[in-house]
Amino acid sequence: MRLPQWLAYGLAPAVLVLGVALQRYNVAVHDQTKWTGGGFAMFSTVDVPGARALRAYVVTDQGEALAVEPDYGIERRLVYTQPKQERLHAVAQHLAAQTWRVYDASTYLEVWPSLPDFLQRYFQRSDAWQAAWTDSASTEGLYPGHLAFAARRAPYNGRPAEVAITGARVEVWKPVFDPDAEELSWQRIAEATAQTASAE
Amino acid sequence: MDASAQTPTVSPPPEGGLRALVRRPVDALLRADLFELGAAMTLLMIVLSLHEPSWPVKLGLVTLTATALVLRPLMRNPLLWLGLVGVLVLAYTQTWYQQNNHDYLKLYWCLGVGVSLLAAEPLRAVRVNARILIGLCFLFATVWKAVSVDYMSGAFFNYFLLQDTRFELFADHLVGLDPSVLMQERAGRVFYTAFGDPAGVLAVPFAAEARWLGVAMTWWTLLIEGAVALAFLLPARFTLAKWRDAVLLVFIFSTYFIAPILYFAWLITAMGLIQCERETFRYAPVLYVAAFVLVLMRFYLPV
Repeated sequence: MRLPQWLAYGLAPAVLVLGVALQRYNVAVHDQTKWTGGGFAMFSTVDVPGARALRAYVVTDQGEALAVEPDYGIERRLVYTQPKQERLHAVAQHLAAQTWRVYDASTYLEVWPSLPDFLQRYFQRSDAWQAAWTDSASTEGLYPGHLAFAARRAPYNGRPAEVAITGARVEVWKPVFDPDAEELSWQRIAEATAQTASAE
Repeated sequence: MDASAQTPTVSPPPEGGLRALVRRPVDALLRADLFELGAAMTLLMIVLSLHEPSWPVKLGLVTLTATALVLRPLMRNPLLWLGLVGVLVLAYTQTWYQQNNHDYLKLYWCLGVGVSLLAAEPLRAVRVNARILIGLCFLFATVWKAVSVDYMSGAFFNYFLLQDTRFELFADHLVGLDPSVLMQERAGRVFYTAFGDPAGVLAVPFAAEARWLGVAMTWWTLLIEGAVALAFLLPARFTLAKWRDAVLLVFIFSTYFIAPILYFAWLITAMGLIQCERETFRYAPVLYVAAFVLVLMRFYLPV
């Protein structure tokens, strides 16, 4: 079997160009990071897949609680690399179906020794946390206002806050570099919310 | 009984000592079958760059590559390469949008080799495919950098010197940035992406000693990648096209010793080797093989 010359010489380059076009479409329409997907745009932007943020919140009647190390039901990278709405919604539904224990800022110091090491180190970087550490009554401006742990692996067995959980929300952020201010900020590019079965 | 029949034959020590020890492999490379060498490098790259694939994918890729590496004539069989294309497509079905560029390039390259081996002049077709694929890949890389505000600001590489551990050799050792500052900055970004922060902004401290390096890396990368694209896409009558191997080798040596991105480096080295012509640059095959080995060594260097 012999292939015609145009096919033998042109097929692979044509597929490459098609792949680049498809990647650019996904970058423009679905906010896919330029680094992946065969567009050959690595090292052209700070929007590196690993620098994107996927954050989950448990929605309660007293505000949102930041979910700590949640089980997204899918590899995180697959969600934030190309945050298509249906994929994000499936993750929100998966989170809303779980059982959560929510703690508010008034119990943070009590929860503190049970927190994972990386979470302690994160809080230690916060001025508000430093203030709360020296004055336990000072919970003003603490971020996050509530923390949520999946019930089956909550690090602390104390009594959780009495809140009604109504759903879950996930959001994807991408880094944006401002060369003039020499600052890196994050921009929210997608979000999805799902209600718990009882709230529907 | 003839004593020589019982004594195993041992090659005599090379004449001329160390010089001959270097000369022999160089001579062997100068006479080597470049297609076979480049194909072996490609297969090695494919099997070593497997990362968490499903078992059918792992089985398919390992079986095809290992068999061809042992039975060398298989490397000239288009079914091997088209079979690899089939398995790679299967591997990327669910995760195509998060695959890295080298994953795509190896897919296109296997397709290019597979269809070339079905052409009337297979080796010529393989060389042309290698040239066009390298040229297009670098053309797009140059265009996306040139139109990117992040990149053209010149501050982009400064950010990467601080945040990307692959630049550690430069940031920590050559530029002399404080490792504790680097760790703090990296930790800040990791925490931020995991949990967020009401302020939502991370100031990127630009060390004065890194600023000139960031600007130099920005323009050098744009220039050398653009030159590779032109050298590989321009017809042979252009002077730059005659220098294509030298330009690509300069890119490989100047880039992958700073940022050891092993698999992409290996792939373009293998493709570069296959397409090179001894008539225009006699020592190009030797330098491509040296790059293949040195990039690997740099990758495992603990800095």
